[in-house]
Order: sequence, then structure tokens, then C-alpha cells
Amino acid sequence: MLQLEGLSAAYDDADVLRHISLVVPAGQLLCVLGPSGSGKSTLLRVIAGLEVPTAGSVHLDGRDLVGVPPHERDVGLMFQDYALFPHRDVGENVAFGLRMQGQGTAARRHRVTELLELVGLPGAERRSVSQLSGGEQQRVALARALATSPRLLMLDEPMGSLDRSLRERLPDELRTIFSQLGLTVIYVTHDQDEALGVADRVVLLNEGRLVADGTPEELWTTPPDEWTARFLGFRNIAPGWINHGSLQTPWGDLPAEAAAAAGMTAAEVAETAAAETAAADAGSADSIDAASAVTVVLRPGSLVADAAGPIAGRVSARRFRGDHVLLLVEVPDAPLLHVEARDGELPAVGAAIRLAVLPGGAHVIAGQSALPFVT
Amino acid sequence: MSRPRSIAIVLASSLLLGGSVGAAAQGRTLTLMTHDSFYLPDGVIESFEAAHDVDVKLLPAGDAGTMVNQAILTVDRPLADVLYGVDNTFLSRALAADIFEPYQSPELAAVPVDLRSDPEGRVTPIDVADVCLNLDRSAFDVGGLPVPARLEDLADPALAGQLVVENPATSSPGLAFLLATIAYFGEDPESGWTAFWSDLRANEVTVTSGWEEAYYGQFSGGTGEGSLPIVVSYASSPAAEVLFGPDPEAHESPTLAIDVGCFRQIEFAGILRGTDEPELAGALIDYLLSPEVQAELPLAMYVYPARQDVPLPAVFEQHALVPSAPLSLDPAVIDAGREGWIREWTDIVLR
Amino acid sequence: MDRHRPALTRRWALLLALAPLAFLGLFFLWPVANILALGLAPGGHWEPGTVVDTWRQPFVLDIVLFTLALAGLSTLLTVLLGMPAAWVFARFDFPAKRVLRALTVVPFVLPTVVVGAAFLALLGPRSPINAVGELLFGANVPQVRLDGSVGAILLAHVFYNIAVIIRMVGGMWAHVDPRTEEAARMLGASPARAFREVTWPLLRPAVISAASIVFLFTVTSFGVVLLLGSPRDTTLEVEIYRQTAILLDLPTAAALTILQMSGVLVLLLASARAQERLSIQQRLRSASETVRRPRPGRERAIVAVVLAATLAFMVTPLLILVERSLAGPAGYGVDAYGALLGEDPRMRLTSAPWHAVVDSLTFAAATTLIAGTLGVLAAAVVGYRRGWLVRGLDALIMLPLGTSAVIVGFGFLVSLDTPPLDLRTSVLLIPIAHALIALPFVMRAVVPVIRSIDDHLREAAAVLGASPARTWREVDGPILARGALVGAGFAFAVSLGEFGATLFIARPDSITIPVAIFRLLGQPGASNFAAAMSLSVVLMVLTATAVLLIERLRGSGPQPF
Repeated sequence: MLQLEGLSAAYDDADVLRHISLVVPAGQLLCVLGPSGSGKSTLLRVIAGLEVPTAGSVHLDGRDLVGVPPHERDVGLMFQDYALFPHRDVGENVAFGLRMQGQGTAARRHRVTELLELVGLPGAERRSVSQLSGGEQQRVALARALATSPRLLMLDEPMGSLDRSLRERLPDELRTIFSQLGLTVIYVTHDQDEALGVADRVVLLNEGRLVADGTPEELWTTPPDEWTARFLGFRNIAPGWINHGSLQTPWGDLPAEAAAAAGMTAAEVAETAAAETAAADAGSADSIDAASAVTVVLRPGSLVADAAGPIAGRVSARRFRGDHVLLLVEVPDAPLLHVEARDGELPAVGAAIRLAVLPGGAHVIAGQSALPFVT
Repeated sequence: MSRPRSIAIVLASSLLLGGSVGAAAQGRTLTLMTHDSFYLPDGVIESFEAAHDVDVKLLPAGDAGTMVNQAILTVDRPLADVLYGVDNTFLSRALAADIFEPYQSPELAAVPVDLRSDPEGRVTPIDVADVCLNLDRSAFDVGGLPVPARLEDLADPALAGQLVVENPATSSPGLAFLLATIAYFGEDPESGWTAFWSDLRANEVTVTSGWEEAYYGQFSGGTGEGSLPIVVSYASSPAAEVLFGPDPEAHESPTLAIDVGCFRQIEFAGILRGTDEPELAGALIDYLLSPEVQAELPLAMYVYPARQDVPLPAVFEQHALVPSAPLSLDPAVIDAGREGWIREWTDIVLR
Repeated sequence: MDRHRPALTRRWALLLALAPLAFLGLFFLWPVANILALGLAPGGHWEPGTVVDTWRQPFVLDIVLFTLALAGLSTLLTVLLGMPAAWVFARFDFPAKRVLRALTVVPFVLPTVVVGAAFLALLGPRSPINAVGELLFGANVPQVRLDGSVGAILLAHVFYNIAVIIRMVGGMWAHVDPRTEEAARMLGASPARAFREVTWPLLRPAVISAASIVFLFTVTSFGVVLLLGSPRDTTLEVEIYRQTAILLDLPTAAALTILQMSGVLVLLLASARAQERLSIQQRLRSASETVRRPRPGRERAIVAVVLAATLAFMVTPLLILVERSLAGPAGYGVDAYGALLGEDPRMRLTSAPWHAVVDSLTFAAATTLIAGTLGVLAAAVVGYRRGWLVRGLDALIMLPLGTSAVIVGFGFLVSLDTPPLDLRTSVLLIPIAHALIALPFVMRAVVPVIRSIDDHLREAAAVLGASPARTWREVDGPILARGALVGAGFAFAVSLGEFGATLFIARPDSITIPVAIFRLLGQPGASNFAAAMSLSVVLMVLTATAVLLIERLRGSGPQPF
């Protein structure tokens, strides 16, 4: 189990990590997701001992790691572009950590064979590192990091430089390997699809702060704030107000049921939103007054054509997306709506259209942020 | 930069450099090969150039030995017309290699006969420099050390660890001092120079590779920065100390040259065989021996003129030493013995 | 890497090698062969037996052993003391880094006379150490003296050559991916083990390259040995000089020279072989990517200590020179600098000393041009191709560094004596001689960079649609240019500071700064001494400025990595 408590770090007096507290239970695959520059790599380097935190503590299985040099932490780190040793062949790269542990030649050879089989490169021992493809390098780096069976394995953008087909296939293979070995893994990426696809649990990092924490499903269905929603790829986001049982949005007034995910009433929705706001902003005088101000996220797949629907707009573009067609709908004085049309007759570009929101198709976030709305 | 362009620049720059060399080569030129210490004040060479309508090029070629060796190596295609600065320690090697044309200067009449070392007149004596012991006055006047009166006194325990000499293998004054001891003590294995140097070694003599290291680095007098009060230097060094000291009019030099173990170096000039300008070359030698140039020599190079009839500058009269009976050896004897002596000396003093 | 497909065809390689080969043949091999022939065939018939007879003399063995021990020890010390500084300069960012790095090159170009004077002042009887001792314990305290000892020679050798390690090893180090070392740490290697297992093998070719240059410099060290050593410490170089310039014993000189050159050649071939064998293709990082400010705490302290110790060692002798240049007979002042502008007959120079500054800069520019062009051509051949021919060229280019200057100089005299090549009294000889010495630096700066160019980069460029010529221009060109600029900096600096060969060929109407300093030091008088010291300070400032300018040039160029 990894415990981080109030962890902060700085480069050249600029804060990179701010008060990160996190508990990763043994055997969990945790994804750290965030845009570049959010502090993801630094978090790994601090846990690895390659950077010194300015504050806070790191405990691994109850052992305080502050002041412990990297090579004594029993933590594996796979670097972004693998950092294989160019002067050693594949086998020597994989065996490096075993050699540091003082294992004998025979044991090392056995373990290298086993690991290369595990990562799908059997018999590659004598190959030169510079002759490997990107995917092969990744596998060697993984085998090298796994060789010593570290208590914690960390991967920094492991799919960073791979082509698309590998990026789609490898995460599943990785998952299988990790669950086979029962490893605790921290997996860093900037790609939300990758993160949601591979992880048991995802945390979001923004400007050095932990902004969201949950299972992939939780984050996807109920992003805790607007930034997270945007980062996860939601596009239909606008300020709204909960008023007399209806949800007022720039696109039109929606019935409260739209936001009722699990059969909540409109009053319950408003209450929840107010409570969350109050909790987040305790003591602030106007927090209760602003309780009805919310941010509305409309899921593109929950918008359906309905002649009686509350939203009136005009189709400005149609894009074919395989299993669905993306319609871009202009609503006067409101952000452009992204609608995923799956069946029925498709409206022509330029045609007027009315849309309804399926129950649970709107997600309501307490409060309104100062983020500019994209139209 | 593209390669063709850089090559073009190299070519252009070498043509430019070459061009300036070519331009200087037009008209009549006379090249004077000298050792590195050669110097004459502004105007001296120029007045010869004006008088003979010739361009004189100077060619410094290292110390006296290196210069002579270069002249010997290039005997078939000489680098210069006149060579100045071969001294009596290297003379016989130069004569043996037959690098000079005989020349009888009319000015030679004013030069004492004992300076004319080559009876065949292949070289002409121009100046004289005496290598003598120099003392730091303060160590003797104030410090109370006994001033050595003879070479033997240097081996006296009272002067233990006070003397610095130059290595004769690498230094010209060092060789001169070794020759002085050979001339003075003779070659008897019991009482000769070898015995004396053994005594000197026992008396903690310090050896440096060159004059600069000895005078500036080890000697304590004048501009010296060291701690030893006796050094092998020149008879003219005390005058130079005054000339270059804080007060050029000073009554007393901080150092003193003593008339003990002085060895006379005579510097000669000669016409290099194969010159295209034998007459001009002769004229240059006459000029070097003329009273005008001879009078300039002391302050220019801290040497004494070969002519007897030119006055010495006041600072020389006052501070420099004219040894009463400087030691010397025949050039042929020097040349025959030098290598063996140096090897023996090295074994005695350094090994 | 693909060892079967060199980026340079055999025909191109031969063509490119032509110019450097012609230059070395004409201005090095031919003169040296001629002077050796004079020694081996006195009077026209060959007497090779005398060579063996000379080698058999016991003094020769003594000299050879002393020379090897001195050079080996000097090289070892220089590498040991230079590596921490190379690491700090390669990996960390700190205030005034550019200036400090330029400063480390300054000792490298100072003429031996100047360094000798500085070290005598530091280690001799009037050293600051003794001054303090006297102050504390009175005039009778025993003096500490290092001059005239092997220790002084070693110190001066390290002082001289540490820049070679800092720049050549540090230059490579800055491009080695720090993550490989971090990866080793993560796999359980202690800092020392990670260095030994990962960083050291990646640096080794650069270390061997730099160390062989240092070894060559110390094995042929002349002025330092004469000035600071005791007269009984005779090296091969000093003995060759003595036998040639003073005794004109050409048979002995030839025998010793053959010994020296063949020893140097064996070393060079072995080093070239080792470098080729050990060179590792790795993904180089741009220096700006690998460099960072030291972390507060332990790391900052270590960096500070390494920097302070290195600079104290390198700057103290330089400061002594500055102090001496300001100390006049009547207290401190800048009189000595004013004196450089005017003609003073007491200086015994034919023109005011500042003329020497102009001449020196001209020669340095010409040298940089010649050595830069030929050096990059040679580096292309040596870097892209492999095999014994390449090793031969590499060794041949290095050989002038391991050959006695007096042998080359006397070789010029007996070889370049027929028009149109009667260059014996030409000023052209100065940049030519300087280029002989500067060539190895240019080549050595470029070759490791070429060898490390990742084939993936070339392939990437090819995939992106670049023709082979275009690929070379886009991928190899900028990387090569960078190495060439480092080499050019060295060429310029080498020319500014070269002394031994220049003294031999300088003419009074165009002398270099080191020769002017030497002439001034050879004249009596405190004012000449101060003028020599102030001219040394000018040389120091000039060198540092030149190196800084070249670094600036390098910084504004395209970022190849």
C-alpha cells in the first residue's frame, strides 16, 4: 500500500506538486491522468526518490521513504521513452536489476527467459537495443522494470511513442500481466481513453493538484467539476440554474428528470447541488444564495430528436463516426451542441431541429466556474 | 559555411599573406640571422638601409646554439646573408661545418688581437660578454656573509646553500661557468673541476635549467624573487638593475658582479657562404663594427663593444664590472670537450 | 546500428581524406622524414645500427621510463580531477556558467613561460603560503617549496590540461540521457554503481579520446618540465631538444625521435581501436534538456564544492598573474597596461606590444580556417568509416601532437627550402604550424559526435521524404557543425597560446603574444616583467572572450537534437 500525505514539490522555485494526498491499496492499478505539465511525471519521480519533495511524506507498506535513496526503495519505474541501456543487449537490460541484487548467472538467465516470454519477446536476449522497434523497446523496458518484482511499479506514459494499433492492443496485455502478477501499479498518461480503459481507479492532476478521484465509471458518469468534464472530452457544457423544478440552460429549460440520474426529484437535485457547494465553499456568505447556480453537462448520446423537445436549433454540420453520426446543432445565444444520432432519419444540414434530453442525460455540477464557454 | 566557400577563403587568405611576403622581397634585401637576444635601437639599422639602398630583414633563430645549428643545417641554401651572435663556445662547430665566407673588415684594426679567434678571418668579433658571479648586496652588507674571493670559497661551508647556477646542458651562461671552472681548476681528476663541483654539490648548490629561472626565480638580489644571494649571471647585470630599477640615476646597484670565475664570451659575425650579396654583407659587418654601432651595444644588449676606442655609457662605468683577467678556453678545445664535460657534470651534480 | 551501411561511400571517403593527407604529408611527414634521414644516413649512407646503439645506452631507458611515468601520472590526475568538473558543467545550470566554462580554457592556451612564472610565484620561496608562515612564525620558519619537484610538474600539467577533460568529456556528458542513469538507480544501483555500469561505458569513448590528447600533451611537455622540474628530470622531449638544437647530434636525436614517434603511434592506434570498439550509438539529448539547477541541500552543496575547488585551482595562478601585472615599483597601478600601447626601447621589441595582439588574432583566424576545414574533412572520414585505413588517418592526424616541435621545425628548414615552397622565412609557416597542432582538436571534437548520430534520426528524415543529401544536411550537418564549432574554439585558442613552434619561426615584424611575453621576460627590469604579466592578462582575456564568442555562436545555431 502506498500512502502520500501532503506531498509538494517545486522546480526552480515554481510549484509543481501541491499537497497531494493519496492512498493506493496493494494490487490496485491507478491511473494518473492529466494534461502535460500537470505534474504527473514529477509525482512519479518524487515517489521514486529521483526528486526531493518540499513537503509531505511517502510511505510504502508502512515504511517512510523520505530520505531513502532511489535504489533502496524497491520501486520500479518505466521511463517515458524507456531509457534502455544502449551499451547492453536485451538480456543484459532485463537482467540489470537482478545483477544489482546479486543474483547468480543461472538464476538471472532463467528469470530473463521467463520475463521475455511474459512480455511476448521470447528468445530476444542477444538482440541489440538499437535494433528494436518502439513496441519491442516498450516490452523490454517493462520486462526490465518487472524483473526485480518491485512492490510498486510505475509507468510514465508507456504508450507515449507507439503507433495507434499498438496503443489500442497493449493496454489490455498490460492489464493482464499486472493482474497475473498482482502488482500495485501507478500508470501515468495524458490520454483519457487509455486511462479509463486500463485503470481500476483514476486520479486527475491539474496544475499540481489532485482534482478528481474515482473509478473510470464514476468519473465518466459524474465528473466532479467542469475542468474534469472538459478534460474527459465532454463538449456540451454551459452554466445553468435550478429553478422551480426545472433546469434552466442557455439551450432551453429542461425538466428536472433530465438530471435525475437515479430517480432523484428536482428538489433532491437542487439540494445535492447546494450541499456540495456549501461543503466546497463553507463559510462563504453568498454560497447559499448561489446554490441554484450550476454547471450543466449534456451527454451527446442522450439528446434525441423530438418535435416537442425543449431545445430548438439548426443543424450546422454532420460528421460520420462509424457507429453514429455527429450532428452539430446551433442554438441561438448558446454553445454549439454535439449530438450523437444513432438511428432514425437524419436531418439535413441547415434544417431546423428540436431536441429532447433523455432522463439522466444531463449532469449537474454545483456552482459555475469562470471558465470561458466555447461556442 | 559550405565547403567550396571555406576553401576559397583559405586560398584567398594564403594568397594575401603570401602577397605581402612577396612585396617585401622586391628590391635588394639583406637578411641578418641573429640569436633571440639581438637588439639595436630604432634608426641604427635604418641608417644602414638608407646608406646602401637595401632592405635589411632580421631573422632571430633561437639562442646562439640553435641559431648556429640552423645555419649548419641550411648550409646549401642559406636562410640569411650574415649571421651575428655565434660565440666562442659554438665557434669551432660553425667553422668545422664551413658555413662562413672569409672576410677581412677594415674596422678590425680597432679590435684587440686576442678577440680575433679565427686566424683565417671567417668570423669577425663584434662584442664581448663576461659571465660572472653576481651577489645580492643586502645579504653581504647587512646579512654579513663573507664575499667570495676565489672560486674555491664557493665550497666554503660559510656559503652553504647560497649559490644558484644554470644547467650547462640547457643554458649558455651555465655552460660558460662550467667552462670557467674547467679553465681555472684544470682536468686533474683529484684536484680539477670535477672535485670542485663535487664540493659544490656537497655545499648544496642549486641548479636551474635556464638563466631566467636562476636570476628571477632563485636569486634574491634586485628583481630576483628567490632566496639565494649568489647567482651566475653577467658582468653587466648590476648596470641593468640600475637602468631598469626605480631610479636610473641610483648611486649603487642592489647587486654586485665580482671578479671571480668570470668567463669571457666573444660574439662574432660572419658572412654565410652562398650569399648573393657578398659586398653588402661585408658592408653590414663593417657597420656592426663601426664606432656608431659599437657605442650603442652596451645599452642595447648589455655587452661590451669589441672595439677599444668607443666610450662606455656612464651607468656601465659606474655599476658594471670589467673583469681583470677573464677565464677562457680555446674554441677547438671547447668543442671537443663540451659533450663529455656536460655528461660528467650531470653525473657529479645531478645524479 | 547498421554497421554494414556506412553513410559515406569509400570513394567519397578517399576524396575527402585527400586534402588533410596532402597537408600532413607536405608539412609534417616530409619534413620529419628529411631530418630523420639526416640523422640515420650521415654523409649519405644508411647507418641504422647507430639507432639501436643509442637505444641500448642506459640513460635512454631512464629517460623513457621517467617520461612515461610522468605522462601517465599526469593524465590519470587530470582525468580524476577533471571528471567531477566535467559532470558539474555538463549536468547543472548555475550563475555565470558560460563565463566560468570559458575561463577553464584559459590555462590551456597560456604559454609555458607564463604558467611557469605563475607557479613559481605560487609554489616558490615567496609564495603566499610562505608569506603566511612568516607572518605567523617569524622569518626563520622553514619554507615550503614545491618548485623544482615532480609535484610541481604534475600540478602544472593538470592545470594546463583539465580543460580538455572538462570540454571533451563534459561535451559528451551533456548529451547523454540522464534517464539511463536514473533507470539504473531505480533498478537498485547505488549512485557509484550506476555511474560505473551505465554512465561510464557511455562516456568511455570521450574519456579515452580526451585522455589520449592529455597524454600526448604531457608526454611531449617541454617548457613545464624545464621551468618547474629539477634539472635532473629529463624527459624524452627535453633530450630530443637538447640533442637537436644544442648539440646537433642528429643520429642520437633521430634515434630518440623514432622511439618517441613509434611509441606515440602505438598508443594512438590502440586508442583509436578502443574508441571505435567502445563507441555506442545512443539517443543523444540536447544539452538544454539534460541540464538543470542543482537541487537544494546535498546536491547543491556537492556542486558548489566541486566548482569552488576547480575554480580555486584554476584561477589562483591566473590571479597571481593579474596581481603581478598591477604591481609596479611604486605600488599598484595600471602603468604596465599603458606600456603595451607605446614603444619602449627597453622592451627590445621592434614595435609596440599591441601589434603582437593584432598579429596573434590574424594567425589564430587563419589557423582556425585551415584546421577547421581540414579537421572536419578528416573527421567525416574517421567518423563515418571504419577499418585500419581510418585508424591510420586518425593516428596520423594526432601524431604531430606527439612529435617534438624542434624536430618538425628543423625538418621545415631542410625540406621547405626550394621555391615555390621556400617557406622557411615566410609568415605563412606560423598558421601552418599552428594548424598541425590544432587539427587533432577539431577532428577529435567532431568524430565522437558523428559516431553517436542515431541512425533512427537519418531514417526518420528519410521517411519524411528527405533525399540522402538532404538527410545529411538536415540531420548530420547541424550536429556536425556543433562539434566543429567546439573544435574551432580549440583551434583558435591553440593558435593564440602556441609557443614552442612559434618561437622557432616567428619573425620580428610579426610576432605572437606568447613570443612577445617570452621576449619581455628575457629582458631585465621590473617594468618589462610587469609588461610581460600585463600582456599575459591580455592573452587570458582575449582567449576567454574568443571562447565565449564561439560558444555564443553555437548557442544561437539550429538545435540539432
